[in-house]
Amino acid sequence: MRTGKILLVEDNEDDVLLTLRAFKQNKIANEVIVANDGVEALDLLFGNNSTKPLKPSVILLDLKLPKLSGMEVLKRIQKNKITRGIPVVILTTSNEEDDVVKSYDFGANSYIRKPVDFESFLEVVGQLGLYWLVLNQPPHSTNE
Amino acid sequence: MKVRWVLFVSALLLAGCEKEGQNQAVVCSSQPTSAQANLSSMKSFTYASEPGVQGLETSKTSLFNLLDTSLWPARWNCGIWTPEHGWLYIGSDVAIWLAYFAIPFILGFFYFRQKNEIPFRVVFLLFIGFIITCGLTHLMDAVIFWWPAYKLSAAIRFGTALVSWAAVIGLVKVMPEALELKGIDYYQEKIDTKTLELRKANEELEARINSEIKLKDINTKLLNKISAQNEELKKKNKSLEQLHELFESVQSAAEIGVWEVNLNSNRVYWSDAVYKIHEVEKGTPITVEQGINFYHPDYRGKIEKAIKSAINTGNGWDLNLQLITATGSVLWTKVIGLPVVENGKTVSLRGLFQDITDKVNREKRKESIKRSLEQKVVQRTIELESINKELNAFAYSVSHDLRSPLRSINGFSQALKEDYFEVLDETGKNYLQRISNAAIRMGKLIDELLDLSRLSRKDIQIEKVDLTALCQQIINETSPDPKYEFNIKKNLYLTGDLKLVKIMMENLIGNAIKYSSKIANPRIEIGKQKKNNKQLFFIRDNGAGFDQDYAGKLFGAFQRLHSAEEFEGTGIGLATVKRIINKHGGVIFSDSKVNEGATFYFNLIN
Repeated sequence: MRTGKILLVEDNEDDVLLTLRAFKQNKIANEVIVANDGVEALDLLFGNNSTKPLKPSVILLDLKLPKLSGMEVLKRIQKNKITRGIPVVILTTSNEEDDVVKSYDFGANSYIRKPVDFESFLEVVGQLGLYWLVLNQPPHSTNE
Repeated sequence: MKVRWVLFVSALLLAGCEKEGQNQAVVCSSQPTSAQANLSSMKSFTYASEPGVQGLETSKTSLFNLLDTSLWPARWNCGIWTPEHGWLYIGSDVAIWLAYFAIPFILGFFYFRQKNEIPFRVVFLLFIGFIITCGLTHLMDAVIFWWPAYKLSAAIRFGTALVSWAAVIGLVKVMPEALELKGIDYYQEKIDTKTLELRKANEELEARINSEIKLKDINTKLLNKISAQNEELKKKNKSLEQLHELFESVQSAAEIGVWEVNLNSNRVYWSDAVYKIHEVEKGTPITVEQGINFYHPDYRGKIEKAIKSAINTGNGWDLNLQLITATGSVLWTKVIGLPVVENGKTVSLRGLFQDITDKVNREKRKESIKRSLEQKVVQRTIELESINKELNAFAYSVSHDLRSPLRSINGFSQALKEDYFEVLDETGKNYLQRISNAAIRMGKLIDELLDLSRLSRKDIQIEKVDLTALCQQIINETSPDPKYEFNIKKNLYLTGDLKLVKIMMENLIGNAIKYSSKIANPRIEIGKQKKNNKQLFFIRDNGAGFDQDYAGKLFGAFQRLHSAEEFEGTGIGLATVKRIINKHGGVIFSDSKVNEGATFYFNLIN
């Protein structure tokens, strides 16, 4: 298992807690950095005067975010050379086809709808960790 | 010809005989001294002599007292007559008289029959007279034996003499001409040639008659043809008349007028309807300028241009123009004009004229109604679009915002159960389980509700769907318990949106499986049959069925006829089916009895 960071962009605290719980139960020990809105997520990714840009192994992105929407964040990530290579998994409540199609169009690597049933969520998160953190080979090493 | 000769010869013969007769008459004696005198004759003589004593002188000298017999005895007493001699004399005279009278009768008969053919008619008549008078003298000779009317005899003889001489003179006059008359042979020859000529002429005539008959025949045929054509023409004429009448009634009914302008004489003809539309008295003479000036000033240029173009190019016009009538009313008129071209030159213009004010007003009203309707449609569309947007936003937020708390409820009750396993007793754990189950069910409800609302918003794409294959595919995907017996009719096809039809059949097959799950030998049949005069598809199961009284609730969202404990479900499936059917314009209805299975009949395009 890689040791890379996971960036979780999620405004709902409950969801953050449950996601972290799911990681834990799936024995995903990677450091999880949480951004509560789109602007914060971009700040973390691109860095600012005081901080260096974060280079996570995977970004888990909710679509419905305050300030800057998840879709906008996705676009910015794909526009930027530094962040373009980071796998982005859309992790959202919406199953609108429009959202799914747009997400892939804008360069999302995966689209996952959060199920109500926590059991199912656990399964999804387990598979997600296995694929993006273990099996997937990113273009450049994000190990630090 | 023969008649002429007979007459002539007989005339000559008679002339000969007459001489003899006269001689005889001369022989007659005037002496009344016969010893064998007839007694009666004697008496009459005696009697006659008695009154004669007084007027003897005058009687003797008078030539005219023709019936005076006083001076002579009857001939029987004149001389001595043996009875044989006397009766021979009398008999012969009577015979001659009869013969002499017979001849002119015969001649007279011919004369009257062939008046025109008889030559020398006067002489002919004279001969007749001559023979009659000769006959009379002989009669007198016989009569004198008893009645001595010598004066009368003399008068008759005198008449005979006159007529005889007239005949002689006539004969002399006509003789040279009569001698010219040709002989029988000549005439026979002539007759023969004439007969020949006549025969020829006859033949020609016959030929002519024959050809005439032929001509007549042709003529008759022609006449027949002509009369037939005449009949046809009459019929056509009649229909034309009817058409004309119809045209006129149409004119007056539709208020269509006819007009004509003769370009040579500049004379304008208006039909009654045209006058009526212009509100001008019928028959008022109109000039071209006056006609044009009736149009609204804004439209005069148009009509003038059209007229010019018609005259120059031969093209007609069909214009809607505003007209100001004689009383100042403003009308809309339809003016159709057609140039009449003769030898490449426009000689007159004629056309139709109609008051279309009502029509134009109606159209204007229609136009304004249409515009306002269109405006309303646009407005409504905008409203609907915004409502739709709101709905979409609502659906989006439902899928997002309503699900998130459910996830929390489920997730944390799960976490509580796991993390505080020891602290919670069985009841507590059961409650938590119920909480998380309820959250899961609500999540499902929300998802299905969303699916349903998405269905309504989706456009359908019609194609031919192999229903048999589709059902088979769904059953394979569902992989139900082997106890189910499926009977799907082959070659079932329908037209509809494939994705929607699949959702529909998934629901229907799913229901059939679900509600027949509790019996030992569940059987599901899919086919097509005639129901209510329509070919309908059906899906039938032998499962739990339902009370048909509640069938009306069947297709409403979240409506259930069974409890969740009995058969699980959200009550969205048949509502979804109904939506899909409605979207295609089809029908669906059920037929069921409790514990006797259920049949759903449906089609997509009604």
